Amino acid sequence: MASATMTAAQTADVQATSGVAGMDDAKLFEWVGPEDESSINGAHAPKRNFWHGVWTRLVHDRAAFVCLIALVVMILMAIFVPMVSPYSISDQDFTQCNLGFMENGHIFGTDKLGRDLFVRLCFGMRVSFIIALAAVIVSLVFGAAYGGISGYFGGMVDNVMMRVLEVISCIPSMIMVILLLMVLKPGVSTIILAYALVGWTGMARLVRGEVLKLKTREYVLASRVLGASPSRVILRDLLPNTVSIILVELTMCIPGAILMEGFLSYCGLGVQIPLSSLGSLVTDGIKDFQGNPIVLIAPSIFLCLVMFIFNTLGDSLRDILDPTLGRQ
Amino acid sequence: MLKYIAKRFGYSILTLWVLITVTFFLMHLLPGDPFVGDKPLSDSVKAAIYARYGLDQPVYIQYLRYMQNVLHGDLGSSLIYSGQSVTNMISAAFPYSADLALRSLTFAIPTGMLIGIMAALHRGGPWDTTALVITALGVSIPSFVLASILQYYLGVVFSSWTLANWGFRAFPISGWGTPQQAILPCFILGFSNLAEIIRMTRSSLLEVSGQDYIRTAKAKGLSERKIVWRHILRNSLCPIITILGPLIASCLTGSFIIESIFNIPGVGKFMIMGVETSDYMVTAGSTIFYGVLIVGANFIVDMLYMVIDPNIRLYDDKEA
Repeated sequence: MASATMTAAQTADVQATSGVAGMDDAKLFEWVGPEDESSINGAHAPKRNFWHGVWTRLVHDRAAFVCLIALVVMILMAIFVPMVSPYSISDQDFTQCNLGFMENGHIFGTDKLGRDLFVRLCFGMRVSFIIALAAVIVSLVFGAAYGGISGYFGGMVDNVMMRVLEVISCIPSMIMVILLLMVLKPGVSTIILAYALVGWTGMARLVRGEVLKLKTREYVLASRVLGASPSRVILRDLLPNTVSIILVELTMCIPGAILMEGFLSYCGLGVQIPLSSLGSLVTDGIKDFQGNPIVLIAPSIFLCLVMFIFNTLGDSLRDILDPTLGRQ
Repeated sequence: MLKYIAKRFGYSILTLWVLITVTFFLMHLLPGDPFVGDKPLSDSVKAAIYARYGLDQPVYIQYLRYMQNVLHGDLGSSLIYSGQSVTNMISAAFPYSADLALRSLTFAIPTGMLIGIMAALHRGGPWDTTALVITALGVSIPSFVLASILQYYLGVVFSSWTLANWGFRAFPISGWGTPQQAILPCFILGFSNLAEIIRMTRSSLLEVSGQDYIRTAKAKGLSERKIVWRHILRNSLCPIITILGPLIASCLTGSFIIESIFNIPGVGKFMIMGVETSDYMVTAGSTIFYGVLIVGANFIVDMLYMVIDPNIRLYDDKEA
């Protein structure tokens, strides 16, 4: 594309000057390209930016593509099923308890209180996805900013910030979260807060390492010479160049957050009734599944599927985005 | 090198101090009161109980006293089971937890490394497929789901079948002591770690196999066996040691779910019990105990890694 525009520009340039300097100079220029210049512009490769490249390769990766479609379907289910379904998550119908698969119009049957499991499951996915989204935002905002600042300033700032991070990441996160949840009221916002306190350290470490590597590059120096403030250099020059590792780490932190919610629900510290989450549905299912296996099997399958999808997507993204790792 | 050890040790101590402090103050923020029982207590009795446990003192005095006790290995006494010291409870329970963790690691580490190595050496073969399937299952099935399903289908359904036909229960559903009782909990605890070990071993091996010195070794005409044993394995097993620390941590903290599902009287069961009955001395005690274990394990792994990998020593000398 560059060469094509240059040719066109030169052409215009030469033609412009030739008009002033006289006819002789015009002989110095001879057009050797095709007569129709627009065909040159159409000949170069289509313009591809970073996201377009990632997207193309992701779609061509069969496993990742299937996961992506499944994820979209799940998100749509989580959003729309509770809205359009005739049942709600808390309606109890004691004439319809413990129904099995596809009985009486209940797709996944009902639990022991006669609540429609399919709606509860979709609502549970909604809660789990919200927790996942919050985990992503927390990792991104805290983790990336912390790592970016630490790596960019270096020296004493880096030292202190890394020591703090080391201490936090040494404290076992599950224990920390359980302690916190004992103090605060269990619920979605508390789970998110608990994750926020412990979940960002991995991202901070990764981003710091990358920023340390990048900050000696010429474009950073150029930016600083032009008078850019540290926040501008970090936000506009450094972080966009670490976007590959950030993206992979984000995808990988989602299953961790969903799993954590599951464990907390199992300990009785998850979302409270009548709300449901994938973790709390599995936990309830464990208690009642011997009479009606669907109450455990359906939420377990969805929980495992969500974990599997995000792990597979993360792996594929890593293959695509990190050329140093190669296709292993 | 001494400087590195001292530095690491200092961080470990600092971490533990933060953990103890955070635990103490969180426990004090707890809304529940362990002495609110079925029977309402009169104010004088309440005051006497508070004085007995030092709860009438200002918080900083309590903190200093608690710190002092912890340093002497005394984690206080349980508020629910009067007279039981938390240290005694933990030391009685820990052998069960350690046994469980150790057995599951003896299952997971060799199996995982074997599958990982075979998968990397025969890429695309049946070993590789096995590795892929186990990794996918391991990362996507939470241990409490696996535990509940296996407990029912193997521990109840299958075992009653064996009881009827062969005269014994194949997999008892709870308790600890006989080897049969250990199979399911150890397998489940090991399973999620298995995935991590396989993934790590495989990628580490593949990375080393692509190095220039492996090509040199091949060009020299070394036999396949020599290249694998001398060059690939030796160099690729180093990074695996780094995951030992987190692995031990996940085995210990993961075990409290398994312990409560299979009714094993380990530390985790006490911790869950402490959470449920708001016996905060037990919760705080087991938290600190876990913290010491995990920080200690990380410290040892750091040291081990330094001994094995000279690069760390070199890097740190330069930095210091």
